[in-house]
Amino acid sequence: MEHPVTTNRISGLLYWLFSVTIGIIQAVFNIYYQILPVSFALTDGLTFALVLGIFGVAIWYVVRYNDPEKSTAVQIFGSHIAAAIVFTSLWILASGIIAKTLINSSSYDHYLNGLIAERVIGGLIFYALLVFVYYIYVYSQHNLEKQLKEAEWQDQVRKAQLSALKFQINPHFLFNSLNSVASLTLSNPEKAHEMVIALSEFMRYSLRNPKDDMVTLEVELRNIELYLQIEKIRFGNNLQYRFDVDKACYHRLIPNLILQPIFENAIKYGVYESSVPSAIILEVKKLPKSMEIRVINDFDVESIPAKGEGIGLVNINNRLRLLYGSSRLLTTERKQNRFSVVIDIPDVMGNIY
Amino acid sequence: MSKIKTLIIDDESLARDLLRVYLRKDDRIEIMGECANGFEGVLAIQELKPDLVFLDIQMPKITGFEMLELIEDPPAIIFSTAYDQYAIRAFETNAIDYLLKPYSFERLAGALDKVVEKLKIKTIQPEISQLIETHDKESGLLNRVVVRMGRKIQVIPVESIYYIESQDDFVMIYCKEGHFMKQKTMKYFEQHLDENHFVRIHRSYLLNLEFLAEIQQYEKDSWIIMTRQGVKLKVSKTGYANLKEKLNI
Repeated sequence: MEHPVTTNRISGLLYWLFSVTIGIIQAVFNIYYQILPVSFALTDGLTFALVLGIFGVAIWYVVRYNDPEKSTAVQIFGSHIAAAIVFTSLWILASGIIAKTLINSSSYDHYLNGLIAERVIGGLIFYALLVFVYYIYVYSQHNLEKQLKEAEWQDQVRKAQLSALKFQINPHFLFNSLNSVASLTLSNPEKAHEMVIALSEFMRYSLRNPKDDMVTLEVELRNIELYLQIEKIRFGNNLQYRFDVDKACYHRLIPNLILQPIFENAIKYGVYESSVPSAIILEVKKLPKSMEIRVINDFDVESIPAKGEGIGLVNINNRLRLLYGSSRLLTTERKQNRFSVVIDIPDVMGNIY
Repeated sequence: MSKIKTLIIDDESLARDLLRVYLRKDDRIEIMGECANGFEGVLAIQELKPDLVFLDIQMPKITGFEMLELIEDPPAIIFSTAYDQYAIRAFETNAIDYLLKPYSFERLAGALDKVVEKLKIKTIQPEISQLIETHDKESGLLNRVVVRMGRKIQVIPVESIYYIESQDDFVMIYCKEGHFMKQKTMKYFEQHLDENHFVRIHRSYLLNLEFLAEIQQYEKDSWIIMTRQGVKLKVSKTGYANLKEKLNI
């Protein structure tokens, strides 16, 4: 967050106007009641006001390093008391020395010494006021950032839904599946029946407009299984798959359709591009503070994947980062002819039962 | 009239099943065989010499288009594909026919009528070459090149190409996997390989900068480069200018 006084013209101007006004008010008071001669009063008022303003800029850093979300109230209170004392003493000391040197009169020295108590109180009040204003500023900026983050997040969810939608009406997948149905109606009507139903359920899940961005692992996996069933009818033994899921994980929440692109990739590089049988394995494990989802697929080392792979994974990573605040939740691994994608879903979002 | 000898190339068995059922209803057709990928397809076309091939485009290892590049004297081709924007555009003017899956028996019969017409007047070959050319123009940069030596088909990733040498009406590709002849022009490769990696250093050579080891001048206006593999190639004056530009020297 940027300093409101040094980086923002308007708030900076207001700040200095305020400080100088305090000085001028004091000078006018001293002149009006004939406590000090005009030149002494002006020098005194402006010196104290300007030094107050300069030191006040530094208070910002005390506020910044005492984030209410990270420190306890006692810590914050303690550091502000200490800072207020240091601030006030330094202000009075520095302004006093400067004004004394500039004015160089024993009658002024006398005036200065008699006013220390009032100045201490004034300094503390100024400190408290400034801290208050700074905190309001920080709070409003936080809100602004939150809103921006929220908007970005919404945008990402929308994009993910859109690309998921694109996948589900992926013309290659859809028309090839329909062609398989056309073929099966002649050779194996029962299988055709099975495929039309699987295809319908899969399309229904994908085309619905989900109100919740989170679904249980169970629901997401049911949909993945439909997808795999359809591809299995198309590719027969060339596609093998196995799910190995910790029972405790079924009710855990994950962002919806987050696994779909991973399986799509696995099929694309493992089955579409390979002429030998290829396996896809899903492993879900409960770890102490998270749930680990691992998708492993074989791929043909000799076929060169078309360019543009990884965009789906980048989208998933973005979505995870926005939801859980970490960009290290998705990792990939390539070992010989095996490709694995690992997603770590932190426990923070909780379960539903 | 003798029957039309037909070959089916498609990676999905259900798609082949359906086509076979359809084709058996038409007594102008004799099915010679079926292939599940482009590698098998190339060999089958060579051995069986079919009159007509039904060809899928998206297949493992090599696409239907890449497969056609490997065949001299290609037979009549009917593409059958689920969805392919580029293909649709290319075929509209050049293919004997293209079928969008799933298609009806009547639609197929119409395509077969066209084949019978074309086979009578024997104008298939130029159209196929034209089709491949159209595809070349449509597609952007290559990321692999498919070549064939006898029965062996080699897929070369462009990153592993050292350099390409032009011969009369073909090129020789030197790469990690060996060297292979390809019936394409130097101009084609210049246009379809990333110009930031491949530089024309001479009328006869297109060099992959990744494998450039050193440049030496041996006469005025005449240079040679040495590849990382220790091969020396001539560099022309224009070629040297191209190299200087790409290497910022």
